[in-house]
Amino acid sequence: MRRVLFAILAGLAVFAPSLALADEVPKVYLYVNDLASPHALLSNEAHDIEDICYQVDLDTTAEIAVLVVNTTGSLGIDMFAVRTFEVNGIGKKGQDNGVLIVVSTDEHAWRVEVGYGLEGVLTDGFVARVGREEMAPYISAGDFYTGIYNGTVAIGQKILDEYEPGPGSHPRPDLIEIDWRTVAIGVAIFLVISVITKGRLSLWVVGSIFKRGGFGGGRSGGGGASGKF
Amino acid sequence: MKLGPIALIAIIILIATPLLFATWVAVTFNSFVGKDQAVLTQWAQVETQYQRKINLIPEIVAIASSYMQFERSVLENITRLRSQWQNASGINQQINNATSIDQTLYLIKITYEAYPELRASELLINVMDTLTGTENRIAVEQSRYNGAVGVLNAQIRSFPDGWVAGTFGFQPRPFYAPIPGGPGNEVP
Repeated sequence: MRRVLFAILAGLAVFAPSLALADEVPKVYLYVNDLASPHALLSNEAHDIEDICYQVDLDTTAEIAVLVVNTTGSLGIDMFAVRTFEVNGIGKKGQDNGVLIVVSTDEHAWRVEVGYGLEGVLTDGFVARVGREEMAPYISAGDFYTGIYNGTVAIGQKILDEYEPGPGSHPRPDLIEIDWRTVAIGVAIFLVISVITKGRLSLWVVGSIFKRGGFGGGRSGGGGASGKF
Repeated sequence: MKLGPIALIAIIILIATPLLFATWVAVTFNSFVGKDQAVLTQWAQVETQYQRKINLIPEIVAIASSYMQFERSVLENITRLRSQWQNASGINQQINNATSIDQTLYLIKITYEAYPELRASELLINVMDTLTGTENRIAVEQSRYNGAVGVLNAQIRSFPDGWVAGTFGFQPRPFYAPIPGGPGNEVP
């Protein structure tokens, strides 16, 4: 009986993360997320771009996220960007002032997905021009850093110049936040399991108590532009 | 008179069962109302974005008519279709009309893409980028609409909730097909 229970719990522990990935889009935790393999950006390059995003967030509360992937899968880059935006809630809640820059290395495609709250500032025309003129020429030559850096600067500068954050928005997301509810549930499960399995199944609970505090729950609806490089 | 424990339990069950049943019906009913409303709200989003596309047509025509690459007949056609859309009565007429509009806009788009020299005009580039962006917005709102419809329809078809739906007349909502030539649905 205990063995069966142990097997079920262990199975759940293994499968829970893959169930979470069923929607095919990554969870992102930082401003700049280079998930491509091999990496498209060196770590100091990623930090450079991150500095711009941080500054824009600090001054205007708008959140710019950058994501480099190998492929956007069956979704295609447009839907992939919307879903990633949705799942991660880029931009502040209620302000919807997020921007997501996606570069897909295998498909040679880029997309800038603009949150509802920034559609007035970052028009489709502006964003398309930034992608075509500031990003694509460098990225197609293999210079991901310059392309993404230029694109982020152009978009960030436009936000700094023209965006007025609404009342009640707070800058600077916390990068990691402890989810106390999960901690409580985790401790309870941990105790029960420890009793049942005499302490054999243990540490997997610990990994799940941290959640991303960062992006603030913003929404988008397909605004922005995409293109090839 | 003194009731035995079994009689007491029987009375409690007799009173509690209809109460629990009524509560379940009410909760299920409210859940249908909420999900049906979500579908309608999402449909309004689709309409808003579609209207945005319709509103772009005069600008597209005005800019495109100064380039000989665009066929006159296509531009005249889209203008006519736009006024038909605005005068359309009933959702079926609008949907028929929308299909023609999408097909004609697609002709304009492929013309734009076929002639690289058209990319010299900042105005034209801008309006075509806006059109592409708007079509992507429509695609996103449509897929969210279909998501909301899927949630509602699944509950209507499920047991025992379907019984509540049938009793109170909640109907499954129709799915919406993506626009021809729109993102993710390019006409070959």
